[in-house]
Amino acid sequence: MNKLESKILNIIQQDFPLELDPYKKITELANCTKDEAYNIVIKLKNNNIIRRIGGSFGAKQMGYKSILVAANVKSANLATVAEFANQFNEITHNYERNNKFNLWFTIIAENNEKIDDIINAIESQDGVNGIHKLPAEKLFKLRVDFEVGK
Amino acid sequence: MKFDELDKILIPLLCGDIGDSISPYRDIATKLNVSENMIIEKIKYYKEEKLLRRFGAILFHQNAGFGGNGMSAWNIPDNKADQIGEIISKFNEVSHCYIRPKFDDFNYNLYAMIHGKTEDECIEIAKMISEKINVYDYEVLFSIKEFKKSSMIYSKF
Repeated sequence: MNKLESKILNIIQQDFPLELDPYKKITELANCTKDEAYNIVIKLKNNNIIRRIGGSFGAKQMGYKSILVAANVKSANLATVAEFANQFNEITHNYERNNKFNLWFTIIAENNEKIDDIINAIESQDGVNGIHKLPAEKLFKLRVDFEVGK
Repeated sequence: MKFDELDKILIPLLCGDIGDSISPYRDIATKLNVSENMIIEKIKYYKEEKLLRRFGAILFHQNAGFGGNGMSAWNIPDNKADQIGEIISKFNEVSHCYIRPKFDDFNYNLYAMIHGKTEDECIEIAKMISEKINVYDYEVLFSIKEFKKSSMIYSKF
């Protein structure tokens, strides 16, 4: 990524301009033309640097419940269990991690009953040795901006 | 929080990608048959009400040069968790910091997501945190495989 690309990426990560002509604002901040700025955004999207431009709403604020779950899954069954979990739209993140608890996923759903149904379904899959429900009891910070170009 | 008919269509839309257009608000306004100003005011309103945590470009951060994504988990005495959580949160490299329940076979109650250019960098950052808070019972769990990473689309509210 060159300097202009990094600059634009940092501008639009923090706050995509909320005005009638957002790209005009970007060009003012980045010192380039509208076409240059737009082409960079499209390029970054095509190169899989930008996933999307849009909003991240808070689960709690939207009236939903969310939870982190850790599972201890037999290696031989891990891929199958992960795939089974992935079918649920309510499971947004699903990772293998290097620990006895090797499958970590987040569930966001309208209510706790739905969450428990999903957890029970996963727990009853072959090879799942244990599950821990890890709801957030307190949140200190939630910020995911990555300053690029440094 | 009362949602009107426009919110019910606009919010799921904003959960997706509006970035293909050079005039995203105009395009949405046209599609939903409202004014551009209305769309912008709605987004500002969602931000003010803290419904919208962020609005902008969401990255594939691994491809943007942030290859290290370590979930650090700490064993903190319960009565110190608040204080220590505040300290850990001040690190720029920490994006999320939560208190969660402890279990006998996973005896950690404070979780902090650490981001760095590499996994080694994340480990170094965890060491710095450890020294700062004087807690040495911790682990850093790395993602070996990303099975799924998607954005939640809120459509029932």
